[in-house]
Amino acid sequence: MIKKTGLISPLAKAKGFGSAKEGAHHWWMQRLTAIINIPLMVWFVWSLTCLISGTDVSSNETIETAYAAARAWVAVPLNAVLLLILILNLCYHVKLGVQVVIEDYVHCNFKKYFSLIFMNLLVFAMIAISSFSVLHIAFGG
Amino acid sequence: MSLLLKRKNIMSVSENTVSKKKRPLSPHLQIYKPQTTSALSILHRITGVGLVFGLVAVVAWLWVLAFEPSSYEMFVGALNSIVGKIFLIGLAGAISYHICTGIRHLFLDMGYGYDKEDAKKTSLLIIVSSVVLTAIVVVLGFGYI
Repeated sequence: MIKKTGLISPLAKAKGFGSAKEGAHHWWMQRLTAIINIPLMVWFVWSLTCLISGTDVSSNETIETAYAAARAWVAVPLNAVLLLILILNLCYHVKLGVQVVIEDYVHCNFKKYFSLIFMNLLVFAMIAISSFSVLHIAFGG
Repeated sequence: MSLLLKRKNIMSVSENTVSKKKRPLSPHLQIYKPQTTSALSILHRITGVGLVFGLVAVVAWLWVLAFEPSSYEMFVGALNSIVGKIFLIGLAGAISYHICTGIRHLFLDMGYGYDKEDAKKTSLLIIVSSVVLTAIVVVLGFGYI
């Protein structure tokens, strides 16, 4: 039977975990992204309500107009840039927030790290998918 | 060497007794009587986690908009169904609420609003303003009510 020793030296184990050298970084970024999110979300929700209120989905013709209108809105350079900033900022905020929730309520180590890793992958996927979509529309693909 | 082994034995024994014994825990959420402030606080978390589904919907919307023009009708149709409408109204409410309590959290971080009476007042302000904001979004966006 091969003995499992791990990579942590006995001294490091004895000393405990101590400082992770991150300090208040998580806390600070949570607040910073929150403040940036406020104006961006007001702009985004307002823009979406304008787009939705112009949508009447009773006929095929209006669905096509709604589709064209939504694409045209994303294609405006300022909107595309703000959308990209919003996506990155929102995903960062989500990552930090959900991380705290998982750390607070999931106590089984396996489940905790599994959900933390899964959550991070999901956030990366959302950033990749949405920013690629916005850029594709903005560059007229 | 023998001393080291002895020390190890003592350590493992004490570790066992520690893990077997029920350690005292600090009182958790369900112990306390629910109050407006604590309800608002936990709702901030619940809406925050709920809004992740909203973000997933936005990501899906952008993907469909960019690459699946033929599915756009289905996507809008799903949002226009009763379940979709409830989802959208819930999102509007969750965003309004999360922003309102979030702003209060920022003020709390700066040291304002810890007074009992202030906390009650700001709680009321949060409830009223998030309901008003939700109503504005729903009326403007959907033309309901």
